[in-house]
Amino acid sequence: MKSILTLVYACLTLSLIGCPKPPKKDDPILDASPEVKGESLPDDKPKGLTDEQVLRQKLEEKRQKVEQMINKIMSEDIYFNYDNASITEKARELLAQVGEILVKDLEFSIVIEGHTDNRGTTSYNLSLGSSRAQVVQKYLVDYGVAQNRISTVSFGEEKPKIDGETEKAFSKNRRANFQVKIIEK
Amino acid sequence: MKIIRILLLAFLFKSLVAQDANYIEATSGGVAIKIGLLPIQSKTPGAKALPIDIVEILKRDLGFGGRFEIVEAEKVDSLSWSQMGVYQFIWGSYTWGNDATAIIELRLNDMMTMDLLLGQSYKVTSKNIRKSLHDYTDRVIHQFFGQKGSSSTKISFVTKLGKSKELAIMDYDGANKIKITSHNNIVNLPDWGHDNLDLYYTWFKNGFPEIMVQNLKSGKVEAVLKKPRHAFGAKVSPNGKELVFTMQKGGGSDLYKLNISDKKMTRLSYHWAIETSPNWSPNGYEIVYSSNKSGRPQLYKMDKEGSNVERIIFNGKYVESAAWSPDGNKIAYCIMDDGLLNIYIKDLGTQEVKQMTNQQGNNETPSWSPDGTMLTYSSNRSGSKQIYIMSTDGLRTEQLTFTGRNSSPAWSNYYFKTP
Repeated sequence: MKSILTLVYACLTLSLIGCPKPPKKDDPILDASPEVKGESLPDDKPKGLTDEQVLRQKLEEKRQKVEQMINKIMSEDIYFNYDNASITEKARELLAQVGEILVKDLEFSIVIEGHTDNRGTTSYNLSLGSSRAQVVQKYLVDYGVAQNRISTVSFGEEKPKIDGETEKAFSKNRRANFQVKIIEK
Repeated sequence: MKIIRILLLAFLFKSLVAQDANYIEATSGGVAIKIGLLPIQSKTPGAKALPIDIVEILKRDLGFGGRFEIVEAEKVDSLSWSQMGVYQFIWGSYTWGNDATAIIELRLNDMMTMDLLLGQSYKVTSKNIRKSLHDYTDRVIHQFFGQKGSSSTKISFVTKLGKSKELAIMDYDGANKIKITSHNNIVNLPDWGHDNLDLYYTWFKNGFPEIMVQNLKSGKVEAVLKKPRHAFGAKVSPNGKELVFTMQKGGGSDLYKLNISDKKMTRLSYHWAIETSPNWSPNGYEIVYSSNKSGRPQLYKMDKEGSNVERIIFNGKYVESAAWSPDGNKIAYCIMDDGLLNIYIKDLGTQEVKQMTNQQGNNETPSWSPDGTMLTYSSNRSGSKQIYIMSTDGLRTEQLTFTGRNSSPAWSNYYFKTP
């Protein structure tokens, strides 16, 4: 499983860097003013960007992809048991995948957001969210990610993923979210 | 003999009320003083009626906290009143001034001697009639008990607007609701500054919980701590000079206190577990808080230097949100029973524990009125989270907010100044 993921990740990295396609021979030259009705779209090619800005843009795109990927891995429900900061076995597997990404890619740091369901008090849930984020942080540090690349924040019950008072809503809302940030050199 | 009969009647009456109400009778309390209340009429016949019902407001103001039982009558009825034990009565009148103000005169007289005990005249706009009645109630309470009443106080609370939460304040009877923050963000856990001029609260404007203070007059908002930290839930000490709060740093959530003037911060707890929801004792020497070091949150107290830790509540698996009564004798808190939060009060002297709400939704964040006769709290018993108040004798309860979602109520300090 891990190796498949690594492969997927490698492909993604490659596709982001972008291998130039070899030019095909004998491409037909298109008519400069084809008879097509419609409005021409504005040219969206970035103009006047320095190399640095282009690199930055690429890095930002990559950051978004990594953030999406990590959050997708973590979007499976049930990570924490109720009123408990210990992570489930399932969450451990998912976190190992996140750890793998972070160990390989040193350009990014992450912020782990701890969230709880809305049962219990606002204040205690803020603390519980913090404990949960810290448990995830510890797991990733043990996995080999440098501690200074991971920070934590708790939102307690303030940002539920879904509204409602069902067990399904509760377990979806007990979660850790990840913000991926570019490490400024 | 008669006194015994009156006491007995009063007790029976209370029991009946308690059965009717949807909450558990918490305490027999002291027997309320019976006070007569006559209609408040216009001095000039046929004059425009007042926009609000003065008698209803006086009845509620005087009766809710449990100090008085109001006996309404059309006129002084010495015979039946003395049989019922009514020895004083309130009466009054109003006139309209030329400038759309009302002049309201209220009097408290002794029924036997007809002596005037407390007379007060208010020249007010329609908007401030209610305020003048709150003031008169506080004066009557002071006349009878030599204590300040809570009728002129306010409650701050969190109101949900779309995805954001903002702070609002209202009078203790739910009137005059005013939104005081517009951060378009999550704002929560308010507490009043010593003089009711500031509100302390927690916001997430910078992506993490931070303690802020807002001046209610100027609207100016400032960070409380020297450096940005993940801190929340500040409670102002009784003398207004210190804050106690929770901070997330390193391995867990711990308690800290801050000297407001020089911003010196002191750490109070060092446990790996969660230590949170701190609150001051009324003398400012102790702090009550919750910790999950035994698994789930339980209540403890410590002295204000962080030593002499002692567990104080032993019933309940999830115990949170402690608030010390203004007289120092009781602690109100929440216990989760079968997934629902209920409010309890423990008498620290007798060790007696009383359940104040009974499985009607989640009832949380109890906060005492400054005179200790009432609690405000939030409950979702109506289907959405709203603010309520109850008398601490457990006999009366009232919903104060009705629309949207409202939570985290915090009762202000006194506004009433002793005459």
